[in-house]
Amino acid sequence: MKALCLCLLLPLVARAEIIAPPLTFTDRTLANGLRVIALEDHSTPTAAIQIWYRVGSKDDPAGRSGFAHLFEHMMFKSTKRMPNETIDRLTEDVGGENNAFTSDDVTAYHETVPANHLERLIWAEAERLSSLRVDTKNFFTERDVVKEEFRQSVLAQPYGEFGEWIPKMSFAAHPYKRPTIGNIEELDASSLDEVKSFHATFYRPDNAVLVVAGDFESADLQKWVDQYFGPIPRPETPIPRVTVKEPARTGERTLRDSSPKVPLPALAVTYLGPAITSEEAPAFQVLQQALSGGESSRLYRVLIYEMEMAQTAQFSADLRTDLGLLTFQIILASGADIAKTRVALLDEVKKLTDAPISAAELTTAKNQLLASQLAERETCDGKASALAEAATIRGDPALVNTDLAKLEAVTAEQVQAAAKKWFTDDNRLVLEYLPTAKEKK
Amino acid sequence: MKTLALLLLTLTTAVAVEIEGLPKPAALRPTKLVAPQEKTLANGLRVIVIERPGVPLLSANLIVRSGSETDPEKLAGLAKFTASLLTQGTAKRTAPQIASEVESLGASLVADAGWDSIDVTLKTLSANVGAAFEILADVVRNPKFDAEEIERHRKQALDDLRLEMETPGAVARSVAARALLGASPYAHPTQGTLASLPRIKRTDIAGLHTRAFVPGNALLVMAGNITAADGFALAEKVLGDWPAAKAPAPPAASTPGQKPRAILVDLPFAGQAAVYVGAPGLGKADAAFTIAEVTNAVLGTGYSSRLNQEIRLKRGLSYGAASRLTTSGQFGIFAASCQTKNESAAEVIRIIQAELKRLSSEPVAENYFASRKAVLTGNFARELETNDGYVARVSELALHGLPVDTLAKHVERIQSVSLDEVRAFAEKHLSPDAMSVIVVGRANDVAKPMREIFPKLEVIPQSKLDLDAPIAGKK
Repeated sequence: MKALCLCLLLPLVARAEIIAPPLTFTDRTLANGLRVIALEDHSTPTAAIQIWYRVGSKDDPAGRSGFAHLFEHMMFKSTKRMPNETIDRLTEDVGGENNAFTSDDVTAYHETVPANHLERLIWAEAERLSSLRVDTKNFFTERDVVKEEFRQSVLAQPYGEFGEWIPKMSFAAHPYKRPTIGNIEELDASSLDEVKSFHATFYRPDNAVLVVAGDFESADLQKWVDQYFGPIPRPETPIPRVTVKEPARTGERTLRDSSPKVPLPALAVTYLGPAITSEEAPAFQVLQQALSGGESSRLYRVLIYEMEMAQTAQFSADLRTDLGLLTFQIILASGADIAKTRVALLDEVKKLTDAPISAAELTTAKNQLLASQLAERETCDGKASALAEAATIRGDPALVNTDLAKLEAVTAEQVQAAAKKWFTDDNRLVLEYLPTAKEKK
Repeated sequence: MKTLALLLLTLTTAVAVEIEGLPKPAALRPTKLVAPQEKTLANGLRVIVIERPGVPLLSANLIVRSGSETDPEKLAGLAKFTASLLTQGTAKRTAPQIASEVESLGASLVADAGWDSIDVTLKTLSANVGAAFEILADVVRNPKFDAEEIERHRKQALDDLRLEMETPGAVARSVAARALLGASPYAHPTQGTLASLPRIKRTDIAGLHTRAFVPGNALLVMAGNITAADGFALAEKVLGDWPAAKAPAPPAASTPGQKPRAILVDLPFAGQAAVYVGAPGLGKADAAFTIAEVTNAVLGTGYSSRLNQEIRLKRGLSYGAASRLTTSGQFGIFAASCQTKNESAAEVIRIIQAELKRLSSEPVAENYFASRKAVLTGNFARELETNDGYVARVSELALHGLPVDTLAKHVERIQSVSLDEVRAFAEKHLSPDAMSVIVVGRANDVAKPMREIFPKLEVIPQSKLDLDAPIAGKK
């Protein structure tokens, strides 16, 4: 190992003089429970719509891993009044765009359109929330598409199956153990009746947040929202919620697997972590940046640059609604030994619990996080997405205007305390993934 | 700030969707486009600034007009190798010092090469623009190409290649370039090969830098929270004393001239097959490029393109099918591609062939044509909502010698393309008979049905692929 050459004499930085302009928005809840957040912005003649539902892959029915995501695809099919793919007619065909994503905790649908088309999208989102009508043929075809998505994102990637193995082994009880994309067998087992039931259970106004940002007059928007979303009834039944508690880990474990698809070994180390709403969340954002945010980060500097043991080295603090997962993930460099790489990685983890990160590391992490937040807010879509995330996942859209101040306030001691609390031996799982000989079956 | 009023998306109301209860669109609101401002410094460096006050960020791109097409025959990957080393040490900063200084500013600095250029891209908080540009200029002008950094990078690049060789889509793209363009300077893998990377020496790297990195062969484009006057002054301060020198000659004209082929690369553990149907295409500066762009949009741009409708929406055969035009100064590649389960690869090829034929054999409906143009103009408008989007669009124009005010005419040019032009273009350039077909997947599943379409199918095991030379034909 070459001598450590961390450069500690950093230039003074003008961070303090930069103020991210606050987002100015309105926030109201309709009688049926739909939360509506609006941000007027006349800088470009576009409007961004985001509608987030509090349902994600953790809510997949038993034996139906991947169902929430499969359902997301069905939301682009026919409704009482819209033929299949009408959302594309209303967006793409007029120069707009649309997409959706499913995560463990939420499912989000979003569009950007020329602002003169905004009313039509408010109508269409209300229509697919209130009266989805998918037929069998479309269900089967779209299910095939999702199976191809599974093949593309998992089977056709050398480390795709490794990526699925990490959550599967990391959680003992919580449905976070299931991959959002699911698997071929459980997708094949799903039915159209389950689509209808899932829609009735989770797609209701009191389980949704609508955010609109862009070039409109607020009075117009609120009128449209009242007109199209207002009449949708709030069901009397309660919304089912995951109540499974993940047990604390009680001792370090190591598991091994192998694959003929991978040219180089891989290593993952995971720890259970806090929920997204935890006071420790900003410290983990700083820690993630300091560990793997660029070539000055610790994992890059030590494992890739100095020791040349790793080809890629990432740390993610994936904090979710119920609890978080803290994951170190490494693809080894050619010729590197997995046992030695593991020791080197755990040595880095120990440094985080033994001593605070340097002032320079803290400043760099904060500046990088500030820059990425500013970049996200360049567009209406980015602003809408930030508001939707804060409102749906963390319960308060106003958090978008206090997040930076909280990051600024993070101290190196808080980062160390968070590391000390969660990076314990008992909370550690090590996963080793090795290439197998390529013999044709 | 100089702005041009521009009416984007002008024909969009031509698309009629008649649905009970659906409100009508309101009147269109105009978009404002920022006009790029430019100045050439005394040493020949052309500087272009796009003023976008507001968000306190700045994006910049220093472009050297020599890219992977300059890689010598045995040294595939040299331009990318050289680019990657720029940020790995200069006369006054080590690699870790560069990373620490840049990242402490809330900035990122990345150098990479592609066809026709090496790009050094900087993104920074605009408050730190002075310090960030000083480092940008340092890595462009004074890279050290230290032996230890060369070996470290070589090892990483080789490992990257090993990963790529197990990924069906990536292998298909590399094989396709060789199959389509043969021995032209635009045919080899820009990332190099397992054989070529070990041959690259420090003298090759330093030689490319000395020849290509001169102000007359470079462009600097920046967009963000800066005035043109400040942008020009900043360029003058850090790059004004960059000594002028003779710019290298552009690459000699070459013709692709390959016969269409059908190739199956056997990747025995492929979880999916990558299907690629392509032919040499037009260069960016070709007068007919806009027609090519619109024709391609009918076939394969966006979710509702014909390919995605037929392959994904109607048949569920893929997560997404598209066609793309990749361009260089001389010529590009037209390619339709998707990934599908190994068993469906041949079926997908037949669908793509049928759609290519349909472009010239069957008229495109007016409404559909308007919607496909709206996809292009809408994508364009959204790109120009960000600094990065402006830098990318203006860089592309400037690199290919097109006037930067073409930006303001872009929408109009797309709208002016006619149905007849599309049909004639497809007939001339996109006939299925002109296409090479490459599949990377499991030969056990793919070979037999594919051979029914292509009796002369060439099957190559992935382990025997040699991308350092044109792919040898069937013996």
